[in-house]
Amino acid sequence: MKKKELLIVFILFLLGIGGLFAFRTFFSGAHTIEVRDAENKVLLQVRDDQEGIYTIEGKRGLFHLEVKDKAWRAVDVDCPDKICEHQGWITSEAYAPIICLPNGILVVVSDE
Amino acid sequence: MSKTRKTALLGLLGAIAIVINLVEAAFIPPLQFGIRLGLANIVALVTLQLFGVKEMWTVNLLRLSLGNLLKGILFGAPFWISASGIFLSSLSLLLTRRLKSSVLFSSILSALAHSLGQLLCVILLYAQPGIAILLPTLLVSSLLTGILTGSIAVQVLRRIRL
Repeated sequence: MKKKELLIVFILFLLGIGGLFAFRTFFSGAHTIEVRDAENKVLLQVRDDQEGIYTIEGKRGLFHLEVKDKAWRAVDVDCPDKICEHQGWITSEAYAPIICLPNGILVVVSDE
Repeated sequence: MSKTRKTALLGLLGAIAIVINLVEAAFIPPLQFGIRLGLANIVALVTLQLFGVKEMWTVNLLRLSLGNLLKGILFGAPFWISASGIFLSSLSLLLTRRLKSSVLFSSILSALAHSLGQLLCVILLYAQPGIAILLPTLLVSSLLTGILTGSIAVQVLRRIRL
């Protein structure tokens, strides 16, 4: 790989890592988790210290959101691949949205 | 190379791409939402180097249409997501070919373009721009998988004999 290419790749890499850190610090503190459907309508709002298992109905079946210890995850979801369940526990520090395409469900942190 | 031979070889390369795609989807779970290894891109890279742009498009179209047909999701949502990923990554390969870039660099850019294409399509389909928060993660993971697939492609190109 030529030098110019290596430089471009390096810059992209820095942008990626930088972006990761920027988003991490952006999302700290107690937060409201929102479960939205495919039309971006809010189905459920839960604070991350309200523990429990919440049931939401998606396009394919049931989607369960478990909140515990300021973390949340998808459990027991009616979908073929279970990608959302494999994501594991999400916290506001290690944040990523939970997306379930078959059910048309999105679990994000609300903007407030 | 005779036309028949070339047609046969392209069909073979397309089949390899489809099988790699199916096997990867079956055995290697995505690390997070939509982050896969993208090993099928190796075939696109190799085809591009051995033949040219048109042939790369052919193999990629085969990968897209037959691969999704076999998965049973032709024209469903995953099809369009896959289509935009493959389309953007093919475009980027076209660009890097014009720029005469190295295989590794082409691989990294095409992996990036693929992820971006998929992300854009998901945002369009689900009207959820919030998914864009995945951009940094996608950037880093595409860079890494691009290096992986590019390295494999380089090794294949060293050994392959048509």
